[in-house]
Amino acid sequence: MRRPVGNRTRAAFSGLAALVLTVAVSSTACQRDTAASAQTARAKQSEMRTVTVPVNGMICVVCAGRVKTALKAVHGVQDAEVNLEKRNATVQYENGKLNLDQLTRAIDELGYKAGVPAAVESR
Amino acid sequence: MILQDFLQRFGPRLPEASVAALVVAIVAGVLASAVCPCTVPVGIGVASAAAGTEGQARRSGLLIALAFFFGIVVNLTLLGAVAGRLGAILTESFGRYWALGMAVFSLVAAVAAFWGPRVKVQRLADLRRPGITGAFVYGFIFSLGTSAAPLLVLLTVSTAQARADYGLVLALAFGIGRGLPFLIVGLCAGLMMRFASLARWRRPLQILSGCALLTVAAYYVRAFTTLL
Repeated sequence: MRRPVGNRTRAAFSGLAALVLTVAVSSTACQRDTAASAQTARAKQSEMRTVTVPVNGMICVVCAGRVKTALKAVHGVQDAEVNLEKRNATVQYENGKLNLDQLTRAIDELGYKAGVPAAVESR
Repeated sequence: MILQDFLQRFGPRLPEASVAALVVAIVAGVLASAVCPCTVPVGIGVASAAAGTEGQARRSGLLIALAFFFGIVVNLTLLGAVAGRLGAILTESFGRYWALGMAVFSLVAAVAAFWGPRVKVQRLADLRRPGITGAFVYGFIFSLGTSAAPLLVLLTVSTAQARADYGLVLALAFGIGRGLPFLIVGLCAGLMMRFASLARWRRPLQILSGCALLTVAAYYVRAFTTLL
């Protein structure tokens, strides 16, 4: 049995409308996702914290390497730099992901003595 | 920790240019060697190199140990003269390339140790002089990365940074203390070799010496990678 022409046209229009609606909705969702991920990245960036931890007992470059490796192994630490001249380590970490005691413990466990971490003002 | 505690305790109380100040600087150097993680691998490397070369020619091992010791002393004395600029060699990037340099130098020394027994006696005699120079340069480079930080602490607590001449004397004394354990170990290894039956021990010692130096090279490659 053949469908009437009017019905076919209506079905085609309905299909086209559904397609356009789907594309529009997904496009908006995609835009929302991009905006959300950018916002997340910004929030993540703003949640990064930097502290300086005094480290006593470092003698040489190998000591500095050991401290750096131990600090980078702590969950939540993004980057660590050791300064032999100032005898400290500058650690960048995600706020809320670690307790500062974890940093001092990681240093102490190596046989060096960590001081009290001090926050570094963000530039 | 021991070193810093020691320097905090004795450093500031010392009168300038006294014998006691020099003794404190020497002891600080020995303590720096005791707590530095590089002392054991490099000490084994120096001892095995001294024993290995002593096996090839009499007194050459003693000369190797002495050259390494003087490399440390001369370098630290020079560092004492430029105390204000020590920060430049205490950066991470400098440390990275220093570790790489030490690894390459140790590798070259290991290759020389393995190659040594295959060289004819006359050629070995010709190579003795460069070997001694090499040990001097090795000691010089070694102390750059391992002794500048404690030297800076010593000069800071003894308030010698402002006076170049006094800083230089303290750095010389510190260098003697820093190099002393290596000198003793190298001399002992050389002397032991002299009393041993040379012909029987020559080959095993050469292999041992080469392996020890290869281990030192691997140690510094690891130090380099940790700083990347």
